[in-house]
Amino acid sequence: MAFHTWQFGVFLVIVLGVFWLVAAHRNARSSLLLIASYVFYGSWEPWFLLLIVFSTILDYHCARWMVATENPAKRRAALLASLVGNLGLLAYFKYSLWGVELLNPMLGGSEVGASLQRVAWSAVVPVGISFYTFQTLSYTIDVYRGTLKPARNLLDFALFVSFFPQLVAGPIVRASQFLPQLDWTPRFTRERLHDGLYRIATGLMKKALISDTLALYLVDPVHNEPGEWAAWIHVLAIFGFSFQIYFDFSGYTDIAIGTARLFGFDLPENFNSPMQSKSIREFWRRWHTTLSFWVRDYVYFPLGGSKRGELRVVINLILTMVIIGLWHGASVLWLIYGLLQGITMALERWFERLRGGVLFATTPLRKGISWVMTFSFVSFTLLAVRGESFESVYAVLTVFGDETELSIWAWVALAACVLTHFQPEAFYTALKARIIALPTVAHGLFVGLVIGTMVYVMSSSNAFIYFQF
Amino acid sequence: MIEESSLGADLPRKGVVFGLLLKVVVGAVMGLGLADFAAGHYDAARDLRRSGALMLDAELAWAPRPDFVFKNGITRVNSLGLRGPEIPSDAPPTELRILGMGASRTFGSGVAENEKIWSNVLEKLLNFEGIESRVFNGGVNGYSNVQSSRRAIRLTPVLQPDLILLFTSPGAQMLLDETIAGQWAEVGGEPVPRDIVDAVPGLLKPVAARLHRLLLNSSLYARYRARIQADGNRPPGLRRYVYNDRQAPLGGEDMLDTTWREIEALVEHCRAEQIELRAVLMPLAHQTTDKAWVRWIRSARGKGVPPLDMPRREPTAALEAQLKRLGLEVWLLQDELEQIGNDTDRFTFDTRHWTPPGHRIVGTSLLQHLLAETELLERMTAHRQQHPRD
Repeated sequence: MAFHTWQFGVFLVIVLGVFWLVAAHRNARSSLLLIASYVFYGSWEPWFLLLIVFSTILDYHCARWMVATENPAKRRAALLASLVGNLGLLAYFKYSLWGVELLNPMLGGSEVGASLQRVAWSAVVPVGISFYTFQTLSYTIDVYRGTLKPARNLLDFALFVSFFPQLVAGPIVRASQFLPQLDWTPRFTRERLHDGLYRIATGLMKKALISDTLALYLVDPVHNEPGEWAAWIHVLAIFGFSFQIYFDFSGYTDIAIGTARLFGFDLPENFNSPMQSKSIREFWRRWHTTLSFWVRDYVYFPLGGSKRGELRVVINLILTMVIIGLWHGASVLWLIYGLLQGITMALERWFERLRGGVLFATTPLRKGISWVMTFSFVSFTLLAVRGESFESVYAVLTVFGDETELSIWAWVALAACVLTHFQPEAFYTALKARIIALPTVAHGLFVGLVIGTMVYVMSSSNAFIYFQF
Repeated sequence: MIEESSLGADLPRKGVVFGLLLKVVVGAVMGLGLADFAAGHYDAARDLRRSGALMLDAELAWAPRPDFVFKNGITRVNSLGLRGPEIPSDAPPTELRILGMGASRTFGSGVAENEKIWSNVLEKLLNFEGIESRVFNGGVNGYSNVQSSRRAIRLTPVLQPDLILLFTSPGAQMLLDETIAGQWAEVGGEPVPRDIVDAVPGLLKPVAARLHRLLLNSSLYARYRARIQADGNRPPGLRRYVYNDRQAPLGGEDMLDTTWREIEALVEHCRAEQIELRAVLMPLAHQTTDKAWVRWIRSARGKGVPPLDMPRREPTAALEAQLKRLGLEVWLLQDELEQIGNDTDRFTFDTRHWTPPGHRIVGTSLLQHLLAETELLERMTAHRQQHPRD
């Protein structure tokens, strides 16, 4: 039940209606949202629910054990149980096949190798497991550190883990951001409703009108038949995919944030015009920020961050980015992706130190050069996402034809990317204020028009790219 | 951004909440109506819905529009939706009639003149051989074997063909979207897509079917259904699927089963109606040379393509064996398509669709296959002499 399907539309209307009927009763509204979240998640595969329930019960009790004892060893044991349980599930479902393939040269042909292959092949990656695993881990780690009080009851915690607007592709929410909102009176004002609808409509537009159009008319044709297209079209497709994945993922995030708003919840932002970045470090402060900050807080800082000498900083940066790479997927391509990000960030840091701590992008010309370099680096490394295999990436980079005639819709979508992404923040703030002031019926009309256009364009059957992670 | 706490604040009154939500629903319905209105006008302006080359069809998903003249003013589709002229009223009652069913290559996409495509070449050659005959071109862009088989059965009462040629390849023609694969249900004596009525309790099925037909008047709904019924639901892992014995079409097993079932239905129909049937098996464009095959597999890894070590003729051989198991005689155009593949500049427009010289190769080859089966020719001629058309 993806956000851009009619089934989700019907589901949302029903759940929203019932939610505001029972909104005065804390347990009733939380129970309703939990049931709705489980229905939503179970609509992919009912057995996925077993995993999320397992993670929920494990982490809820681990946190309770931690606060119930003063004994540091017992507290560490509880944390370890949470880490092993969650990361074990993630490792089995997401990384076992890759691991077995890496071991294959050593085990190939043996009975053990064959058994491992059978076990690994039987693992299907459950939708959203990477997202909710990180969410539950942050909870137990924060409780262990003493920076967070445990959830009041299992119901609250289960809802934090499974809240359907952000369950399958984020944003990754911290318990400290979500749990207090369960105690608050659900907020419903005209402005919040308009803001939620505005986010949903813009999210759908980003996904169905821009991202899918780019995929249909530029990225997919080139990746499917690289031998047909001229070299400069390949370059355009590589840049186009950066925008495709950005509009796809940020569109999903917009819908998630907008949907949560309709229920009175606020979710953290995940993007801040990342394609405007002028360095890779800046890019990761603007792109998928809930993941970047998660890894910063729970991996980079505990490793020592930037406080233990230059060599250690380089190692920490590379290790952190490798984890981000492998969080996305289990393959050598993702490993290389993370390595490249980490090495480039270390180089940027080294270059900045050579200049006495002064950034390179100080003049308009230098800012332009920095932007071109950053955007090109981001786009070419994102080939790891789209290419799927070394052969495919190699073909896109080396096999060319002479076809140059792109559909007009490819150009329209590219123009829309540039025009919408590179506007100053003030422009959007002013535009949004004007839109939110419009009558409620106009907001409904806008949503209806967007859905109608989406159906008409008929290019919206592609699943959100980040669902695979 | 997380807003400030609302702890202790008053909950808004239900009337206010539902009043606003109602306004949203009313606005959304108006927005959808507006989008539908605009879509209808846009489609009409583009001659898509009302006068495009293809139209929606309840049983076939899409079908050629009868009496259609393409924008070039030359390519014509007759009143039966077949490429070429009308059947003259004084057509000899004992002429040999051959009906070719297939996709865009069969239709002759890219060649404007009807006289230059394989069906006309074959017809001329047969008449030159002294066999009074008429060849019908039933190719439709994007058609699968399921659609071709169903349409062949639909056309036989009118055309009364002596021989049906089912053009097939081991690629996308084997697989169709699950809705089509799921077949059609009969509600109130009319076919309705099964997915529309399957989820609805028995008593409500006529209501769902009627609602579906009513909604088909909406541009948006018609497009949505056409997409679902056409190819929209084919999973990415199947988009480059090539039939073979080694790999199952993951997620597409039902589609493959339906293909076999519909072909079997055509075989049975032809047997009952005493119509001869042959499968014309053509390799895919990228199967015609070793270089094209390897390059295609390398460039499309992860999308259901066969393993790199699979010989390029293996899928064709596997399909040939399967078609024979279904009771079909097969005419394999391996050498002819390889000849075309080795000189794509001369014989194709876009490496796939044939130029007039390419159509001559195919037409000539079909004649040779036909002449090689002397018993088949004798049987058809004798049967038609005994049963002249009205």
